[in-house]
Amino acid sequence: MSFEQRIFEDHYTHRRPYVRAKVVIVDPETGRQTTIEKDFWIDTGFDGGIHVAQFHMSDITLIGVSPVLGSIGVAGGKTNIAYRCLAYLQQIGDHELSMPGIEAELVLHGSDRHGLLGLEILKHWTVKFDGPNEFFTITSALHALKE
Amino acid sequence: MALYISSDVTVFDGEQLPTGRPLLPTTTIEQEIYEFERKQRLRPGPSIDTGGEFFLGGLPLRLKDHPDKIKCTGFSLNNPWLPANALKLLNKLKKAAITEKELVKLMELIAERASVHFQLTEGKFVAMTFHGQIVEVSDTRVSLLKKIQGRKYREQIFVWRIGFNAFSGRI
Repeated sequence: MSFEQRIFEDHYTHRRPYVRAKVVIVDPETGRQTTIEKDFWIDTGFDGGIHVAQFHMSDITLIGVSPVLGSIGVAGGKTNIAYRCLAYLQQIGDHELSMPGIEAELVLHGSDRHGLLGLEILKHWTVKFDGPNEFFTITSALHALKE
Repeated sequence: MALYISSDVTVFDGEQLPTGRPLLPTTTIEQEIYEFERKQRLRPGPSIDTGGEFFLGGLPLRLKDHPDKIKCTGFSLNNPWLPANALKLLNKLKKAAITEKELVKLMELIAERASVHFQLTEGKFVAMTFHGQIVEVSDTRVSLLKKIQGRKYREQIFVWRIGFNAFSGRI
């Protein structure tokens, strides 16, 4: 038997499904951490985890984590340079995820003021888009033990 | 498959030394002894990466122990042999005169050569140096990043997804 736990629901903002989320980056050596809290676009066209603008890099290097170089595929089939590190998604809207949160790839690239939550994050939940009403819901399945 | 490469080693006292990995046994008895030693971890197998060491009579011969006697003109077995265009771009990278497009191309070339050299499976997530040395390999993005987060490396590293042109991105 399974139940649905509602994590988030809201109308689109500027015709897009945005959600406020909190992402934490930790240096495992020292335990120092930094938080990124901003609006994220639910992006089913991005196969990675979390994407934020590159200007967040300075906050991350300040705690001793050096994001590693790599590449990212962007619209039009082009490939750009991007930096990455491990991060934890800890909050979606008012819903706090159980600690330490969802482990995810954090991509630092570009300069968009909003972030992206990609398929690596969305695979944890059921996301339903009500296009005509510009409304979306995020739920997770809660499995009860069979009696 | 580990590549066997016989590097050119010159000994100045006139004696030609066997180079590369220990020769594989040919007779049955030799084969049995070899297998026993290999299982007991007394001898490295042909597939074990020995860090590019040469062997002299079964013992590792380090070039730094005989700097005045031996001159190695080969390349390290730990590194894939990079194509000329990659070396050219690597040189530009050292001079910090590389464009973003060229840097992506360089990573692509190195990852391609390293995946052939180390026989990496398509879809694996790897961290490697710009000389093609593999630092970490994982099945997922998160597990790779978990392994390398907070670790310091002597050389600049980058991450790549084998067989793909980007670690992640637009699909």
